[in-house]
Amino acid sequence: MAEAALPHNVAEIYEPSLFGTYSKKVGMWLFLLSDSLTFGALLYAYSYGRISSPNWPTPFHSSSIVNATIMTAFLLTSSLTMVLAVNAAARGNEKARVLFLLATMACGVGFIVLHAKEWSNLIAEGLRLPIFPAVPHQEIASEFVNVSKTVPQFAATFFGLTGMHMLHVTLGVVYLGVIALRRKFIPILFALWLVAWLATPAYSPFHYGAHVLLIAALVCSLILYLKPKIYDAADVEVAGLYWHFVDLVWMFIFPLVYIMSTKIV
Amino acid sequence: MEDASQLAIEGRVAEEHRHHNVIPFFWVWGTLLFLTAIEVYLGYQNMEPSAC
Repeated sequence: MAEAALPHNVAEIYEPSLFGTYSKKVGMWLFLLSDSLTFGALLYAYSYGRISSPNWPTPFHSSSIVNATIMTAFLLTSSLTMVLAVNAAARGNEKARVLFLLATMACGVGFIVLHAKEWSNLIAEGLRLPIFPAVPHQEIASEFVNVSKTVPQFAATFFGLTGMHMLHVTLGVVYLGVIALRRKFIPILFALWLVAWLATPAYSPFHYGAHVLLIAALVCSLILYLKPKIYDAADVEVAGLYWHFVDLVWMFIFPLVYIMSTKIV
Repeated sequence: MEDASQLAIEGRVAEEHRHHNVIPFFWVWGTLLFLTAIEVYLGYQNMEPSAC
C-alpha cells in the first residue's frame, strides 16, 4: 500500500529545475547574491567615508601590508585546494577529497589567525570601537588614538568590513569541516571554541567573538542530528561556491582597505 | 524522498568535473599570486612619495 502511494512519475510532478542545475546550487547562488549586497554596502560605506573625509587616515605600515599579503596568499591557495577537493569528490577519491578540504580549512585558519593578530595589534595601538572593552593599564601615545576620535568612521567601517569578512571565513571553515568530517568535526569545534574563549583575554573582542564557534557547533550538531547524510560531490561543489565567494570579497577588501591606506616609513 | 531529477543533474555535473584537467587550476593560482605581488609592489610605489 505504501508503495502504491508513492508516485512513479516523480520528475513530472516536480517543476523543472531552475537554470538546469540542482536546487541546492541555485540556493547557494541566491544566498551569495544576497551576501554580495551586504558586502557591497560595507565596501560602499568604507569608500564613501574615505572620499568624503579629508583627514582619512593611512595608518598601515609595511608590516601590516606584508601581513595582509600573506593572508591573501593563504586565501588564494585555499581556493586552489578547494577546486582540487571538488575535482577529487567528482572522481570519487574520498581520501583526496578529505585531505584537500582539510588543507583548505588550514589555509582559512591561517588567514583568521593572521587577521586576529592584525586586529589585536591595531587595538593595542589605540584603534578601537566604543563597544570594545577597555584594555587595562593601557597608555597609548599612538596616532590611532586621534584617528578614533577625529575620524570615527574609519574604525567603524574598517572593523565592520573586515570583521564581517572574518566571520564569513570562520563560518566557511566550519562549513568545510562538517562537509569533510561530518559528526567527527563537532567535538573538534567545541574544543576550538574552548581554546579560543579561554586563551583570549577578557578585554579582547575575540573573547566574546569565540562564541560564534559555540553557536556554530550547536547549529551543526542539530543539522547533523536531524539530517545525517553522507555529503557527496554536489555538496562539496556548493561549499566551494561559498568559499570562492569569500575569497573574491577579500580581493576587493585587500586593495581598498590595505593597499590604498599604506604608509611607508 | 530525493527528487530523481535532482540526483540525475548532480550526477551529470559531477561527471563534467571528473573530466576537468587540474593543470589550469595551478596556472590560475600562480597567475593570481603574481598579480597580487604586482599589486603590492605598485601600491608601495604609489604611496611612498605622498606618505613620506
